[in-house]
Amino acid sequence: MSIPASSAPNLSAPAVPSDDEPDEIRAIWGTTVNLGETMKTFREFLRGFKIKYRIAHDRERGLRTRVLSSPEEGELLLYEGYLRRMRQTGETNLNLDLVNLAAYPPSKKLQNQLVKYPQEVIPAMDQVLKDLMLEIAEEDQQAGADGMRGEEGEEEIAEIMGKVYKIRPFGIPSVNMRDLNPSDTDKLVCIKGLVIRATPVIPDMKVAFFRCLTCNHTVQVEIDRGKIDEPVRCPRDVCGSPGTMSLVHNRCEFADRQIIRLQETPDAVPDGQTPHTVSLSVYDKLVDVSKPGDRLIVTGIFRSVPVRVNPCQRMLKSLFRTFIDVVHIRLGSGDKLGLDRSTRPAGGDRIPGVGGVGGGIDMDDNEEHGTERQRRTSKREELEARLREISRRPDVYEFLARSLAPSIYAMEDVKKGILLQLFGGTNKSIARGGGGGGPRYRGDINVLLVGDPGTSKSQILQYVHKIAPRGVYTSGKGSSAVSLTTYVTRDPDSKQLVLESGAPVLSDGGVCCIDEFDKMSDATRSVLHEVMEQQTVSIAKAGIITTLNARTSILAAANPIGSKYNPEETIMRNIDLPPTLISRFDLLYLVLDHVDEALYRKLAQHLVALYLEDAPETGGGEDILPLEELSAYITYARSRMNPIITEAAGDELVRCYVTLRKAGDDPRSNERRITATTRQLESMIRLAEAHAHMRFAPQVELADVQEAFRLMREALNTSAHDPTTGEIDMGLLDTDIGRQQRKLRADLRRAVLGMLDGAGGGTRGVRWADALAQLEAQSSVRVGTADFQEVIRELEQEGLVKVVGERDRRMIRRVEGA
Amino acid sequence: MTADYRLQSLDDPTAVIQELYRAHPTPDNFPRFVAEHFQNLFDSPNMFKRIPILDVRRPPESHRDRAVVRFRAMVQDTSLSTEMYLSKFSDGSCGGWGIYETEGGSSSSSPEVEYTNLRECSVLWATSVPAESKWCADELNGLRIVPGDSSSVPTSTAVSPWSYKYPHAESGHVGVQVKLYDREGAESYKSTEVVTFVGILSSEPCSLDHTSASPSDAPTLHVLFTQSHSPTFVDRPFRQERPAQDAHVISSADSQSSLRVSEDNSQVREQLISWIADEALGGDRVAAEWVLLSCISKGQSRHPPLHPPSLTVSRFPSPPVPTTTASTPSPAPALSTVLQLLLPLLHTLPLSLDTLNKSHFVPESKDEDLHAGVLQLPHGTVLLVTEGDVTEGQFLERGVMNVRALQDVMDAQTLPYIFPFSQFSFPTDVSCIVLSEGRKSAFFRTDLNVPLRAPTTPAAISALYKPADEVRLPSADKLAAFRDLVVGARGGKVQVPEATSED
Repeated sequence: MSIPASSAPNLSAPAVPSDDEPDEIRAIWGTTVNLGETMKTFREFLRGFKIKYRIAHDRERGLRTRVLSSPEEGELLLYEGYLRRMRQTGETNLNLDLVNLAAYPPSKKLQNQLVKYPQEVIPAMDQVLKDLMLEIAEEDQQAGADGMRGEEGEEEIAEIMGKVYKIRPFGIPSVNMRDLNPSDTDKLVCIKGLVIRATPVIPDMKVAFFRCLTCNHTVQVEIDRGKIDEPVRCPRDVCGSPGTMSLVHNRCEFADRQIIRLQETPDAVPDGQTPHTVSLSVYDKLVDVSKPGDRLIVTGIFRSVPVRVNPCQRMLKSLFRTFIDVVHIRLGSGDKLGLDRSTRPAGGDRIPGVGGVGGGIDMDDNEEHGTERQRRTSKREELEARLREISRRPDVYEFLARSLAPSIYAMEDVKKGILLQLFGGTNKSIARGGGGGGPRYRGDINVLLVGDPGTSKSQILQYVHKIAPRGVYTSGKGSSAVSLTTYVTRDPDSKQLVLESGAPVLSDGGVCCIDEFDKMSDATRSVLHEVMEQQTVSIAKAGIITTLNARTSILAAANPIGSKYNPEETIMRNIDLPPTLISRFDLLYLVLDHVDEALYRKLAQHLVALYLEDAPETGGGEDILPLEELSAYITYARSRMNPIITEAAGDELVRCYVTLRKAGDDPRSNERRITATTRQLESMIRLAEAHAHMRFAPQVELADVQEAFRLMREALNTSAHDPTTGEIDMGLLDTDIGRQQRKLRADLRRAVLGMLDGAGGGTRGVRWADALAQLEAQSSVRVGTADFQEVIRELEQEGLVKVVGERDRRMIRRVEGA
Repeated sequence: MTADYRLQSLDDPTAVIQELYRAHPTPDNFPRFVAEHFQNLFDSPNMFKRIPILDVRRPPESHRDRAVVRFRAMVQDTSLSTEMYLSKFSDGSCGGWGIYETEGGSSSSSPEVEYTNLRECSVLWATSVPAESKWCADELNGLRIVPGDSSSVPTSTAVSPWSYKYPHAESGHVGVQVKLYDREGAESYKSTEVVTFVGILSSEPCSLDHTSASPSDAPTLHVLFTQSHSPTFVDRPFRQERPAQDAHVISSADSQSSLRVSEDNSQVREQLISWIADEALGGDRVAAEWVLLSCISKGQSRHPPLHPPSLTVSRFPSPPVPTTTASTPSPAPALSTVLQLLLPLLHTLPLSLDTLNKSHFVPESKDEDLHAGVLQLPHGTVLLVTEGDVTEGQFLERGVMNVRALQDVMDAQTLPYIFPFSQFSFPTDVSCIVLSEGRKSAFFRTDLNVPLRAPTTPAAISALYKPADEVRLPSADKLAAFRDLVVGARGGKVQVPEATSED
């Protein structure tokens, strides 16, 4: 069966250069561009490009450049370094910045050629890349470089021979997808957009394998312009029987392909227009790199394909559909917060390729020199310097808090809490925790705002939604369990069952803003239990059982029951939410409409000033950070900083926790009130980390913990004070039984025991009704039947008393010896 | 240009375009040139009227392929991707406007495409104008109403697969994809805009189908030129003491215009109010006046917001016979009929739990296809919302969202369009009149609330819901005068003088 591929050469093969063909004679059709020359120039570029060229180029264009630490740094051969790294890591893609091509004087022309004739030039470059890989490997072998000696080197080279190397160009200015026009056809273009749908992986046949049914002769046919020509007859002269060639599926070669629909980002849509979408075709390693909801910057070849009215007819309708064949993807654009990278697969996204900066969000590849030298770098450095400067301000905390939603008056502590939420703690996976690498401790901070109507809760939510990455804004009233969780549908294209994710899943790695939290149905809310602590959504529907990650911070706003906060009632009575859910919020703020005339006046002045000046930023004329910079600041902090808790901070945390717990101690009574649970300790850790994040500090210090403690106390002070005593009482939040009430019960319990032990008891015990009446007579406050019943039940459980009889005849008896 | 040539253009527009191309091979802006050429050709109203109409009564199937038609349409969806076409074929003839290379040996053997000849055209989805009154349509079509004419032409009964792109899918409509070759004005078309497209009608693969290999064919209009509409939709001059503008009015009452001018506007107004009151509101002239004012109000400005006020006519009794079976919809109030006779654009929206929970009020993009919402209405529409059908029952999520959307329209005159991962608010201009049984509207917060003071005897109530043919029509003259007043007043500009604003 090992008959080699048919001798009949496939002449219609696309311009994939083969080794044996002399390069000199080939030119790009219809132009004077000599492909051989192009390849030569590119080879020179790869071998000769040094960092200093780029710096000189950037200077020419008036960009700020980085100062090199030593002159040698500028002499570094950038791409040779990359090629070596590709060999070591087994990577097959090289990201190529077009600006570098332009910066290197001999290859200036190449940039233009690449943009104009990508179809021809890219394969040629791929070829050069492979040749160079081999060349460098051989050189290293001869030089006896590490890992390339003798046998090892031979193996390495053999491996390189078998691989397909690809160039992934990027770095051309992006255009709006509306501006793509026919003149861009078959050229390299770059557009930005929002992924709204991605198909499952589609196997795309590249080489078809045919076998003759009569003589078993086999033929391979390569795909040509999306079509495979089935041989009509067996190409072997001896056989030559017609119509016997059959496709052998498992010997065909397939490539992965995926169609992505990219929609214009809302900021790019012209006023009054609806957003446009464009199809992207991604192949092989770029498949599944992006998820719906991601913002992408893609570089690719703009294609127009004629539409056939009927695939059976040969007539073309001279009507063309357009799509983009993607060669390079970059995730995320600068105007929103970066994603939380710990939510993506290990090692960042699977954006293939060496050459750093292309690597999507993984921009800060810890490679020292090369990768940082891109066009954006100097700008980024500038920004970085500015951000660092801000971080050194002594009042950075207040400054940032002030910059958050400047149009909203006061509410400093709420803003601070939300600010810390945006920075977030660090997600930790404790490996020693046992069981599949240990649990993942959430670093996301959840915040709940409860308050009177018209206290700008929704505005804060909208604001956060605007700057948060992958943020989703949903209104509890409008969201069923479906839109908050996830549902299963059939994909209209592939007819497969697919999971459609709801708000928390979509905001994985971001902030999920839920308005009207109190008005959502119980079924919906119950889903949030899982989201808020385990940070997953489990689904078992339509035969699909899965757990989706929903590593999101939740910012929720709710109205008190009856819409207006009733200060006479406990908080639990005011907020109609299950305590289990409430305890999952790290910070709970009560935003109340205080009765204070001075406040009215100030608030009104603030609001009127906004209208007068027609610029929300001028919140009182203070200096504040613009939205974009705030966003950049947060991104930077989130991506770069990973503060570690110091010894001192740890001690302080312990101390604060103990203080919080002890805060309930009342010397006058021997019972203890619960003021903090371990959840609050974790919250405190997260808040302290977030505060350190904000300072760009590598370590969590004492001050961070103190601020976290203060903030928690602030939040608790307004939320967890007992309406009758005005003291903090976490028990109030968690169990809905206030200290007051518990104290009352303890008194009652003592009285009951005393009564039973005393004269009224005796061996027969006391009748239920009599006991109640006696107690009522003793007590200065009314004894509720419910309370009484509860106390008796507790005593009975403890084995101190015994109740006999039914209904009215019940007798309460003291258990002897107990 | 002779009349013959014009008729020939109607007959065979393709040949005319080809001829133009041969005579003026200006490929730079040929589409512009074509637009101007045809615009000049059909400049006179008389000539324009001879272009066949595309509407519900004359659906795409009733026209022959590649006929020139005019289509008064509302732009429904502008999110369709642009398309490329070959503007010049290998034999040097012109492409575009649905002209394709004919199937021949030469084309199939040389699949090489000269990409430099590719041009772009914008694609829109347009539907017949929702909420358009019959009289208004007739007037704009420029046809004298011939009694019995409508019955002779069979209306299209085939359900279009794209009916979801029409706001009121259950009613008859025409939806076509519109291809604009003159790209200069294309970007400016916004959703809900009303435009008359004049173009060549054919059938082409639907651009909405992005993914399937063989998209189904949709009726397609290759636009030659377009005509926009005045903000009031129809031209009806407000009758002031100068009769000069009457010449433009195309109405059956032209000859007697001089007679009508002498009538005082206020007199017409009085008559109009009493007609509305008697026919539709049980004789309540106060309510009638409010209804009239609400109909002629329009959004003055967005910044600062001066929106048309929304009105609730409360204490408006429910339909006389409570509908026990869900299948028979309760009758529409006579007010709907009356207003339909007066206003160019009126939509009656009978609310019921069923419609609220099931229909979509706001346009929503599903699979990159913008489905129309009930509230996707052209600017200047008056929306008559009746709450009489609402019964007890469960109100689902969809219902809540729908109510919220309508409330948004009333409050801010914006309509959200839902797209995946984003939502866009588009300005609308829809005046709302809510008929409510209770003291105030059950669902909506309106700017004005006028209780109806009408007798509540069964006979009086059933008079409020009398069928359309029982509404006593005023004389044709008077009706024309009423329409002049309503439409003209809506279009008129009013300045508040200094002195008045001081008070």
